[in-house]
Amino acid sequence: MVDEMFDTRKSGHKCGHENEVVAYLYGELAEADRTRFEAHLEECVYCVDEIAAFSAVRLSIHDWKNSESPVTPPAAVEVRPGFLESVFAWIRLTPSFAKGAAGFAALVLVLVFGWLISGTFVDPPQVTEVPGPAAPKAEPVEPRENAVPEAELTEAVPPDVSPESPGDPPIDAHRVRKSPDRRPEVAKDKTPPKRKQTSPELRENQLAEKDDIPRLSEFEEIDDFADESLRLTDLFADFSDDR
Amino acid sequence: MFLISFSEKLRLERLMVTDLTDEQLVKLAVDQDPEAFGEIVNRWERKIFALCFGMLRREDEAKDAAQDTFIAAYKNLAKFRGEAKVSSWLHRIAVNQCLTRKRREKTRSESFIDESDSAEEKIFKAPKHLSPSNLSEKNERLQAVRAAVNSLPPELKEIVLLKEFEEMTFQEISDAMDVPLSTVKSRLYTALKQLRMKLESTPLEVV
Repeated sequence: MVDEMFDTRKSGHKCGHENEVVAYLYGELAEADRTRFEAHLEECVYCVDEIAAFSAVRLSIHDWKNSESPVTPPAAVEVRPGFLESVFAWIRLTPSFAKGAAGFAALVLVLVFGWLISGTFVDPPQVTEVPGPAAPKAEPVEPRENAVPEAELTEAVPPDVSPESPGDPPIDAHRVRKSPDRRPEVAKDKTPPKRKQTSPELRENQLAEKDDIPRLSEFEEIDDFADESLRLTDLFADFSDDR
Repeated sequence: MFLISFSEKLRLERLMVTDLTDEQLVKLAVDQDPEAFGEIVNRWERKIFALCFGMLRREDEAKDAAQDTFIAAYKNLAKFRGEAKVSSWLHRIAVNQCLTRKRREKTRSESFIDESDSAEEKIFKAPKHLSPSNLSEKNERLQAVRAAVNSLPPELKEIVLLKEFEEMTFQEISDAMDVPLSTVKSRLYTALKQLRMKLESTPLEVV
């Protein structure tokens, strides 16, 4: 119950000593000022009322400050610790040597597990060819009797060669001619090479085709001299004819 | 009337006492029932203690001063003429009691007063007998205080927290917030006034 006679809330009375009320309440008035204010308190009921009320507010605030649990949880609610909390609690409670032993055991388990996993991948499984989409069937090329084996053919030019100019005849640049008479058979249905031949290679092939002159590189790449189709005598026979 | 038992009579009388005003209680205590003065003590005990604590800033001194206040009031019940309110009369007695104690301590030794001023914040807590024994009521009161403080404007709330929780001086707060010293004091005054209004408006007797 509040005495309405000097209730400063309703009257809004201000005696001009508001700052002194606060300073006096918190004990931060100088001694001389405190003595003077206490003399004022003997006369001013408003300041007395405010000191009493503000002091009661401070007491309530300090009750809140000093209470350990401002809001006591209901006793019926039982909070169960989670799995991680239980693990951390176990870690805190176990002695050091037990923690070390548990850590070492965990490390050993990790190493064993890792070895087992790595062991399964030492011999990689054999890769079997998975049949892909059906490729266009090419007509089998029946090799000629004296045809040059494909293994002996150079790979001077990739198969994707196209003529530099539209007027030029198509170039079977994926097959390098070994000799003028040993032009390998080429499947007629083979698509023209896609990659563009470089100028020196193109010129060399064009000259070789045009003049039927064997090139020195052809002789160097010949490995199998047993092949009668590639006997030197046949090759030099061409030169003797020109002379 | 004879059928009413003695205990029932006391209960009825008790109900009547709580419905009386302070002035009626004083008149009843003077004329018929000195026990009616107990109701006055119950109503004003907390506020008189808060006033004494605000002036003396020591719990034990405040308890003694509050007790001496009610003893003095009871002794001088017959002298109460009803010109002022009972609460005003009690406040005046309490102020006189506190000032008398301060002057008495000052005359004894200056050092004792200095020590008491430095140690006042350490023992600043509500007396146990004024605290509610009911835990739920205590929690509700604490919740009301916390809600009231949190509802303050930020600049006022900050000063209250710095002053009450951090226990900083006005000068320290002024330096920390970079505001004049007078502004700190006026803001704290405004904050305490707002807290008083909020807490006194709650059903619980917080202040």
